[in-house]
Formats: sequence, structure tokens, C-alpha cells
Amino acid sequence: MSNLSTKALRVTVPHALRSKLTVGGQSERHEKIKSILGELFRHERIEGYIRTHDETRQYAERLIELAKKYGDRHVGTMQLMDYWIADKDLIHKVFKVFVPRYANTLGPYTNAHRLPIEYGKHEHIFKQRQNIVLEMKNNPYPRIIPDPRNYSNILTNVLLNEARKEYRNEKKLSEKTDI
Amino acid sequence: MMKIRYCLNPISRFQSTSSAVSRSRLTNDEIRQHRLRIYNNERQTQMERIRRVEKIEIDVEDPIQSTKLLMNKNLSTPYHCAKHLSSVLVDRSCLALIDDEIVWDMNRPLERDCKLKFLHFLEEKCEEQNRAYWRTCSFIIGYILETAFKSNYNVELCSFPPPQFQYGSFAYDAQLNIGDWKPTRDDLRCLSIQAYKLRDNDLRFERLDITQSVAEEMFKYDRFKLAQIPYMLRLLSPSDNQTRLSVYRMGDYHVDITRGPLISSTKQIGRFEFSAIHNIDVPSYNETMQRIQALSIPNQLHLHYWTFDYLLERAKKKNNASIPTLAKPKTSDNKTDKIE
Repeated sequence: MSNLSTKALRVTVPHALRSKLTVGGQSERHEKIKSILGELFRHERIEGYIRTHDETRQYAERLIELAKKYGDRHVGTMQLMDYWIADKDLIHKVFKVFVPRYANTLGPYTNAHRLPIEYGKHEHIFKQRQNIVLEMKNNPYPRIIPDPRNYSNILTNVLLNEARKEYRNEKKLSEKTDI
Repeated sequence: MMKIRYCLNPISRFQSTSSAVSRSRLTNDEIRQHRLRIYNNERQTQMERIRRVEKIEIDVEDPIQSTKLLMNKNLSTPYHCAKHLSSVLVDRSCLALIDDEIVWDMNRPLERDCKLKFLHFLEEKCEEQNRAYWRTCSFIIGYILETAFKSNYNVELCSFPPPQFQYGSFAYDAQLNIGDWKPTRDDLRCLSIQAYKLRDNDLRFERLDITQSVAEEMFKYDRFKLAQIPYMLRLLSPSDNQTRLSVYRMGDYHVDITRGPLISSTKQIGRFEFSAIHNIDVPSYNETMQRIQALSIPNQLHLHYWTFDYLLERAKKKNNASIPTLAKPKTSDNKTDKIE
């Protein structure tokens, strides 16, 4: 398993505090990450606490990179998948859906967007809890950040384009007469 | 019997007043009232022709809410449909799109079952809305010319060219009968303020299709319009004798001939500034008329005042859109009367 190498991960992995989930030890941490990974691969867009979810981003990216590089016949990759993904049908999904989807793109294959902080929702009402939306890229839902709209036909832009054209033409003419 | 009267007094500052009429002359106000009276009568007779109220089914397609509405045939307008849905649609829609192809006024009654979409000024494709807006603004210039000057000056409106954005302004051609008057900056500002008053009054634009005889009665005192009517009808459809001329009325104030759709109400005007008055030679009528140019932006669009003033400087140049010409009665490529 140690000789499964991939390119560098393209998500942030903070070195100062590498793991932000420390309650219960490593095994608890793995359980939490596995459950979040399962949800992410199944629903392709989930919301949750930034510390847990941002950390599982690394794992999601790594699994997909391994799947892309080594394919599903490779023993080491399959063992990793078997450990990290609890629902076995999601392993099929990684190879059958995600690998072809991201075949021609470089990572990262997930997006994380911060959500507004809502006060008063937890037992400690003055505590902030920053949530994020974690989503696989190119998923079938409508985009979180919508495509920029095309405003080139509204009246102000039309008039300004005409003014710009006229200014350029006059400049050209004046340059020609100067020369 | 055309009563045409002019007086060519030297220029003084103008206000909008209506004074007592002198014996053989009619003021602009009275002519306007006459037109409005004929319009109201004609509209009354057309409404009385609707004996029974029939229902039509309108399929409104809006990105936020799509519903089916049961509206009255020949009575309900897209404005009424919008009122059923939301106030946002009422305020911002300027035109309606029927069956994805025909552009319809907001205040024009619907005639059959159809699909309806509301158009506003901030869409991907808003060429129709932009043209309708500038057409409306040219119409408004006509009203302002008729009412802004003192009653001893008689302004005769001719027509306006179709809206073209490359010239940077929209215009109205009229015979101002004022002699050599060069408007100062304050004069132009006074004219512009009239437009802002209209915006505060929230006047709706209503369409009426009238026959040639009613049109000639309506424009009895306007010699230019009277000359244009037969040419307009022939332009609309050369062979049909039953064609009707489309006439628009703004609120309760002003009536004018124009073909295209106008926007929903004067509330949608944003900035409106008169830019210049130029003299043009019109060979069809053998006169030298004035072309009054202005620039305007709808309320929904925002533009910094510096940019607007820059566009206004450009709008002061002479607008070279087509001069009013009377078409020859039967030609294949009509260089026709430029009312839009």
C-alpha cells in the first residue's frame, strides 16, 4: 500500500494541524471520515461542519486519483476502497461514474463553498459553527455559483458600444490625417 | 375643413399654459383635446361591440411561477395577467411575448388562447424592448412639444424615425414655427423636466386600431398626419381596403400614430434628457422642419451620471436617421414614411 503513488493532492492540507478530528482517537476519526465520504459519494453534494468535511476532501481526492491511475483490477487500490468506503455499491460508482467523469481533468474533483454562519442553532447559542457545502464537480444539480449572465444587449451597453465604435473610428481618422 | 393657424412671434421663454382661444385659430391644447375626444368615442364604440364576455386560457411561462390563467377575450391584457401573478412583473415588464414569437403591448387586449411571457429590460435578448422603449420616448417628445410651448406658438408634429441606436439618440420631426430659435441649456432642461413629470404620473399606453375615416377625423387639424394616413395604410398592407391604422394614447394626455409596440407605462422611464434641435430639409412636404433629439434610459437600468452625460454629448450631434418621406403609392421597395 505504501507504493501507491499519485500526483500531489490539489486540496489544502494544513501541516500545522493536520487532523482536526481528534475526539476518540484515530479509529473514531476514521469512522467519521468514512461516513462523510459515503454521503459525499452517494449524494454528490452535502453540507456539514467545516472541520470534518474539509478533512474528508483529502481522502475523496486521493481515492479518485488512485482509481484513475490504477483502475479497478489493482489489489492495493481495491483494498483501500474497501476500507474507506462502507457501502460497496459506492465503490462501483467511483470506478463507473467518477473516473470517466474526471478522466480528462486535473484535480481537485471536489468543491467546497462556505455557508453563512447561523447563530443560535446549537446548544451553545453564541458559538459559531462554520458549515460548508462539499460537492463533486460536474454533478447533475444546478450550479451553486451560477453562470455569469450576458448583459451585452441591454440598452446602456448597446449605446456605450456604439459610442466606443464612433470614438475609435474618429481616432483612426484623425491618425490618418495626421500621418 | 382644416383650420390651420400659425403665428411667428419672436421667441420668449415658454411655460405650459392654455389660454383662451382666439377666433380663427386653435391652440395646441384644443387640437389635442379634439384628438382625445375622437379616440374616446372610437374606443367606446369598439368596446360596445363586445356583446358577450368569452374566456380564453393563457399559459403564463415565467421562470419563477408558471400558471394557467382564464382571462376575458378582447378585454384582458397581459398587464392584468401580471397583476394576478406578482407586483414585480407588473412593475418591470414592458412587453409581452405571445407564443414565443409575436411581441405584444402590455396594455393591448388578448384575443385567443396563447402562451405568454413577460419581457423586461435586463434580459439576454432585449432588442425588441430597447426599440419599443426608444419608440415610446419619441412618442413622448411629441407630447412635450405640443404642451411645453406657450399657446401662441403652434407646433405641428410630423413623425418620428424608427429607433436606431447607432445614432445615439431618438428624435421627433416637427414644424416648430418659431423661426430662428436656438435652445439654450436651460430650455432643454425645462423640456426634460416635462418628461419627468410624466413619469411621476404613471400613464399607460393604450392601442387602438382605427379605420381611415376615423383617422382622418382625428387628425383633422394636423396637416402632416393627414397627408401620411393614406401612405401608412398602403404601407401596412397594399391591397387590403380594411386595414386599420394603429394609434396609441398615453394616459389621458396625447394620441399619436405609431406602428410598433410601446412599453407598458411612463413609470418605466429613467433619465430623459433633451439633447439638441437641428434643422432638416424635408422635400416630401417642401418644408424645413426641426428634428428634436433626446436620450433616455429605462428605470430598470442604472447608469452613472458621468457616463450618461458622455452619451448625451454624443446625442447632440445631428441624428442622421431617415427623414420623413411620403411613399410613392405603388413601389416594390418602399422608401416609406418613417413612422415606427
